[in-house]
Amino acid sequence: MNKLIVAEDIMQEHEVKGYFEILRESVIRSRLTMTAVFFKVANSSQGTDIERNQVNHQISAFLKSKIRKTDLLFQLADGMHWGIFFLQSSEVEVKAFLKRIFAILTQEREFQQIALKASVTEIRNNNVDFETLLEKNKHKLADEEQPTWSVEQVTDYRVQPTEQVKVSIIEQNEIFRKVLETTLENLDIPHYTFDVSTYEDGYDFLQSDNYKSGHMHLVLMNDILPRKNGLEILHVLREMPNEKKFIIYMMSERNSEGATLNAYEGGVDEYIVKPFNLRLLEAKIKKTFARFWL
Amino acid sequence: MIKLSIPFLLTVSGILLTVLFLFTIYILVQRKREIRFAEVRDTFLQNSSQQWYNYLINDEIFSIVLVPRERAQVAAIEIIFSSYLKNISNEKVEHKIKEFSNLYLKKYYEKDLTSKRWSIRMNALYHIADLQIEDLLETCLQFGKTKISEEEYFQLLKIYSLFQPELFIEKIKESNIHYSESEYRRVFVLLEDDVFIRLFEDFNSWTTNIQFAAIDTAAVKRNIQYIDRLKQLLTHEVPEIQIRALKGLYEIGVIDEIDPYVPFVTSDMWEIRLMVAKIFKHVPLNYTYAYLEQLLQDENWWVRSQAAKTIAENRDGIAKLQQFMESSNDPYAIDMARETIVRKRGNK
Amino acid sequence: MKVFLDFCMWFFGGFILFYMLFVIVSYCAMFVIAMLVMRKRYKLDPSEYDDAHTDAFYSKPVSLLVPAYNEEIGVVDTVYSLLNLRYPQTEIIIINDGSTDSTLQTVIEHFRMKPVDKIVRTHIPTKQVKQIYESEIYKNCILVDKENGGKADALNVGINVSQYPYFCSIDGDSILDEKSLLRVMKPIVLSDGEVIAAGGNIRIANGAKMQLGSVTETHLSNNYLVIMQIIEYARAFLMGRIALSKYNLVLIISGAFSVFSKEWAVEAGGYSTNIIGEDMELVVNIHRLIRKKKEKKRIEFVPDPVCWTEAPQSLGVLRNQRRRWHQGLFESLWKHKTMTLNPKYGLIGMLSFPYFWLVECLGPLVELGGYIYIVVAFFLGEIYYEVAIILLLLFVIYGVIFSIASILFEAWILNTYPKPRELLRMILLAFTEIFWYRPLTLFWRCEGLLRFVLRRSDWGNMKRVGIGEKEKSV
Repeated sequence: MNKLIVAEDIMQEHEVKGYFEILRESVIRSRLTMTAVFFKVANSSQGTDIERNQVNHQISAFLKSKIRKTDLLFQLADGMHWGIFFLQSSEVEVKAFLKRIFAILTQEREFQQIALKASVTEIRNNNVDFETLLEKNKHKLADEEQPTWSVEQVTDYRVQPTEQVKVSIIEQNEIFRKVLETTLENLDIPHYTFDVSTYEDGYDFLQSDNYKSGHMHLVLMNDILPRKNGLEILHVLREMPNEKKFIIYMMSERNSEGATLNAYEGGVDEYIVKPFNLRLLEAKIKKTFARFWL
Repeated sequence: MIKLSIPFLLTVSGILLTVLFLFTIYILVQRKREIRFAEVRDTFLQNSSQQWYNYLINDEIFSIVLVPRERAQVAAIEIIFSSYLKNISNEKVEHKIKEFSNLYLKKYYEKDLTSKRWSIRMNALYHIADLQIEDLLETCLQFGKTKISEEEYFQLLKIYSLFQPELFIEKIKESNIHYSESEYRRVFVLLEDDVFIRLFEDFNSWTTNIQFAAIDTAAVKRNIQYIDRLKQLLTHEVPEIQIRALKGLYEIGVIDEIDPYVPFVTSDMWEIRLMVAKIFKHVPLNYTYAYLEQLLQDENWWVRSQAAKTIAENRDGIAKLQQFMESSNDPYAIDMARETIVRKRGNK
Repeated sequence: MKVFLDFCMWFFGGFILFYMLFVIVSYCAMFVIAMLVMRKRYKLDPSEYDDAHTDAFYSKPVSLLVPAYNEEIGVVDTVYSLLNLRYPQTEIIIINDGSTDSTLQTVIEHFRMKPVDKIVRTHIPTKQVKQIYESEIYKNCILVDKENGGKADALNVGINVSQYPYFCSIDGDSILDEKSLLRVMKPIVLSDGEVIAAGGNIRIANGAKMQLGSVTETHLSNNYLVIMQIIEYARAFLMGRIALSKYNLVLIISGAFSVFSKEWAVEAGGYSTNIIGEDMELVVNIHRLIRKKKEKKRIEFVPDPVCWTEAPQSLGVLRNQRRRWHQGLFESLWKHKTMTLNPKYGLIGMLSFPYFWLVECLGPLVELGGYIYIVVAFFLGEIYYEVAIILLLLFVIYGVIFSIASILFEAWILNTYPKPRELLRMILLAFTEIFWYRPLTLFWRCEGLLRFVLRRSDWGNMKRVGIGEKEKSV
């Protein structure tokens, strides 16, 4: 049984720092959570240096074989820690991953020398730098009394930043416009603040320039509007280079398949036939925003 | 005959000018009143719309401020209610509006129904139906016994259909006024399913407009339980009813068997053949191709065109059409097949 | 000589007096009918019908035809107003009638038109269609580019291309109110197709603020010529249209905004290309067809649907317009002269045609005669004073009083110009009508008659004038 493994080709701490900064920013931009895990050998005091070295290699190889192509594995400079950045993954997924590999490690005979503990950090904002992240996790794992296979947690970076969303309501009926405005202003969606403005017709909206800013923009409009109707606004918005930032809900009195199809083909996200239930609209909007973060 | 003299004409012009002068003053006064009315209405609208929102949507307690004290405020409330009902569907809101109207608006409409003006009575009837003022049903019944116009009677029918469907069926049977199809449709869509289906029980006793409207409404309601009713009508002796029933079945779009439709492929009326060609859209092509090929060679342009379209909609349709073009010797059918293939490809 | 002159003066005086009385009585009758019809609807809330019928289930789809010949300025606004109509199912067909300006490019750019292959069934033979385009933004918006053939030919192409059972013709420089189509279709829908054509009310847009096909504010224009035309439209509407429509006697529904059943229009041969008043021609042809087929069908005028259109602001353009209208009217009546007093055509032949001949067509001649008579009478001396003054008083009743009554009645029912000041201004101006506007228009109309008599043979050149001029029949 020759288990001597050649030094694994594994990234080192100093190489990863740059990557981390890019990944961290992309978390904000793409609204996709990243989770970092750090491992430490739980029984580091046992065994000879050679044995330890062998175990380290084995751990590197094992971890490398278990990660996905989108995950980034690296070893810390002290040689006793490993880190993995799981892109587009939440804490829940990562914990499931840990459970799985820990089960393998405890069950399979060939890994009997390996004993690990881990610490998990979910990252949803960019208030963290690489050094602090390492520091905090090392600190979590520093206690020698911790049981093997335990999973610690750093919770400092899990809160996503609050994002401002522009909301434009374009509706001709004054009373209903007010109703929509009040409803959306009172709508409480965690981590988003709504900046609501209302317009009487399409021309007003297109003149306002409000839609040209880079913010995420929820547009709630009628299909028939005086002076530039909803379909034209839809066309203008979807022709813009950053059209992805628009979430467009079209309201219509016309309950016809043709009109609905046209609207979806033109690029609306939701087509709502009047009269509709306000609670349903709220739920739809909440759902739309809940999808943005894992 | 009156002798045409200067004094006479002067008097006539003088009188007419005076009348017009008085009329002008009347209009100006009227205008003043309208402006005041609009002002009161708009102030009430401004001041109370937030409170209405709180009461109707946020379930806050009812405030006495919302009760109208004059006509202009009633007009404002009508605007608010119609905006809510038109845009928002919510049983709680509807219930609250109904409750409020029955309590506080009832007396205004009751009075309006006794008005000498036809338009004011009509407006009252509209609102009774829209705001569901059930308490006025008895008043409406009394009103129906007086001498009223056809339009008013129609509004009454609508009110009965909302509050007392039994009475509606009864009234519509005994009524000898003939309304248009589109008017009947407007009432029929509002009917509950169990009341509506009763229209089909005694189908032949209705006037044609009611029959047509019932078939069309059944189609638009897209309810599976109406399919059997429509299928029964396929054997009706009036061709127009057959066509309508076919159209309705096409619109519902659920065709579970083709046997009832096959005889229509050889119908004498091209409209019927056209409808069959349409209906076969909803059936897999291998069941219907033989019939569609027959229809593709029909003498009527519309039928040929529809048959070709129906075939082309299928995934293998174009291939079938090409195959047909090679084997057939009917020049019109070949033309149609070619045209359809070209158009189908153009769309892609 | 003196005796002859005396005889002439008495004869013409009597004739004109008798004629004026006849006209006044018939106007009075129509005015009373109109009042009864309109009074019933006073303060009726139309939103009930409007709301219910924005659902496709209750209404019928309509193809909107916009013929455009050198309309690069107006056509975009017109199309916008059509896009904003509250109506469940429409298609918009813009027909570029070989414009020499950039109408085609403007429409293509504005609505992102892309060429498409479309197979058109030829119901009515027309000039060559060059290309059909479809909008990328609005799937129901089509542009047809064709060779120049006049407005009637352009409309016929539109009919061929259209796919819906009803079509509505709208001039390329008019603007529709959002609910106007819904309401003009109301008699058609509610009668289950017994009404096969309907025309709407035309309103003058000068003075109104408009943008992108929506009218935002209405003001009375400051131009006296325009105000006079507004009064004239109100008169035509109250003393004519409504009463005639009630008894199915309508011969003219404005080409600027009217709906027809495609089936009937096609069977009647579509729009005639060799005649000036193609809208009247189609209506008369449909009336003939109704009689021929012995069916119970109606053509209606609907008082409230509103189509906004620009009225001529200068004497020159107005003169041109009136001359053409009258020439067209005479031409159409002449073409169908056999229908006059022909019992085969029922009330149309027995009432409509005589009315149009006597009051609308030849009236200006007699009236102008009346004006001349007054002038001559004053020169000839005292014995004719009395007749002249009687005649003048009749003109006052006929001109001033009827006009004021129309203004007031319209203000009462329709409330187009709500400001009291505007109302008073219109009334004051109506007093001046008989001194300048009336004689002027009479003269122009007589010119039209004369042109018809003189230039009967060279109609071919006339049709080219087409839609380019800013004019519409009332």
